[in-house]
Amino acid sequence: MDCRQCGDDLTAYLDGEIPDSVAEQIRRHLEECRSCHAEYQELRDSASFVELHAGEIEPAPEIWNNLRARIAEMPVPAESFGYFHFLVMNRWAAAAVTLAAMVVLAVGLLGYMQHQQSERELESYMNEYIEMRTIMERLHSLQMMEAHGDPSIIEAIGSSQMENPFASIRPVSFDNPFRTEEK
Amino acid sequence: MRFGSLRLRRRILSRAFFAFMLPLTLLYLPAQDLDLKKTKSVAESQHEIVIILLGKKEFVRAQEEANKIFQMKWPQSQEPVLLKELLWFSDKFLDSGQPELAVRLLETNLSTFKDNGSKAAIWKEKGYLLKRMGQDDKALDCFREAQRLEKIKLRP
Amino acid sequence: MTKNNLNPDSAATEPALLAKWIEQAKKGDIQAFQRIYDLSSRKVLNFIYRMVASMEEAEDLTQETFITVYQKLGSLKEDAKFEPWLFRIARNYVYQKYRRRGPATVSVDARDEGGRSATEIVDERKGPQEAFQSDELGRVVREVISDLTEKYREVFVLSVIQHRSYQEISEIVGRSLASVKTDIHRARLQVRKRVKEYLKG
Repeated sequence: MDCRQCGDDLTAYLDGEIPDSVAEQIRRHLEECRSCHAEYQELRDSASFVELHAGEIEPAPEIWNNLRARIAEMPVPAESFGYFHFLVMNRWAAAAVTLAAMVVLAVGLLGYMQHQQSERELESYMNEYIEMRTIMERLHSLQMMEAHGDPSIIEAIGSSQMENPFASIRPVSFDNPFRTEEK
Repeated sequence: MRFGSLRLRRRILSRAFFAFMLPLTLLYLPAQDLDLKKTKSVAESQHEIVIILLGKKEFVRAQEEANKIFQMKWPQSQEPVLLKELLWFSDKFLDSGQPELAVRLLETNLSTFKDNGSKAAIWKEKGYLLKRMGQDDKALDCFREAQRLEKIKLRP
Repeated sequence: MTKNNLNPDSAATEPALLAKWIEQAKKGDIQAFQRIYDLSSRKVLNFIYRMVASMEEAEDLTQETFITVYQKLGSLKEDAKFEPWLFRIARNYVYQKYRRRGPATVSVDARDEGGRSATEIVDERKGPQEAFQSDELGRVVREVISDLTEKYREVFVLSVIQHRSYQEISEIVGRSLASVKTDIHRARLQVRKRVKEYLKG
């Protein structure tokens, strides 16, 4: 775990929102890294500071009083079937609902068409990659056959074109006046 | 005779010089470069181990050993190298007739990669493998995810 | 009138009780609804106040929130999800207010970028309600919080002051868990910076 990874997770770690396995890594990093530990403490302390001095307002009684008065004039919440009654009695409402339904349908159709198109895009995206890979596979087996006469010979793996990528010796950023070149 | 002893002396001197100076030079190495060197040399051996196991057809073990390469502590600068390595190994498993292990290899080691481009490449390869295995629906999902990641990458 | 016999946090320990009250309130039992109100109005009021920085508006919006709660209680399917649902309603009212206000009420003092809210409103009403935060530190905290942009302010208040889980916060603000996690972290970084600046004098 490096400082960047740790830093991004510090607040979540403080809030207990990190899975145990990662939290353990962070905890260890904080033990070793002074700057991250300092940042962790500052995050913790500033949050405590805010919490301590934030203060809370008590709701004034008027809020409930006004609320209660308004509710008394309203229909009971569970009565949602009252909508139909309202619609049947009111032509304008019915017309508005029909219009709304048509708009919804149109939007739905548009959405469906867009979905179809993006699905098509996805398919051509996929096929592009598959084609490329298939060509690579053919080239690959051709090369293998040329080299060994039988593409199924596993030993071919040992002598494949790719060298061990980790065998590079010289790190690029390295500039050491004391280094000796052994010839 | 004299000539020979001179050469011998020079050789001893250069060996001593090297033996003495090398630890000193290590002190001057920036800590990160030293870590990276160590990690790379471990990965180098691990890479050879996987190849040997593949040759011996011990495919499950080969996949487990390959995983270890990606679980090591790498700086993000090494991601392109690791990506190439992952895809190369996956290909080897495919060649050996082990597409399921190739898929498992990709799934297990996806989380090592932070760059969306790398992740997209891994999803695409996984999709290709699943398609080869006849799991068309799952394959499509993989490409969908890759596409999504590539779009995020392009956003400014 | 709201005697607050109940500890506001008791909902956390008595979810069955709250569920019972919700069922009763759905049928029109106003006393049950009052229990629900007593339990949650404090948190709602304080959340809204932090967001709009005006006591008068916070009280109005709290009222509106609970009216809507009463009306829409029938549509709440899972009683267990009451709190996130309640706060989504409250939050909608907050943002409705912002949209209507527009740029005309931007604070006169020039504010730099870096997370400072363009719609920060200075509390006009100097009433007795000011008294609860008349101490210096309370004022500092109020400023620090209202300096955050709304996006950061809401997750900051919900996480630090109300201690909600990231999952719940994500449901309330309607953003992904990952995006909420990032926002919370950034908000806290900014608060840390401001508190540090203040403490250094």
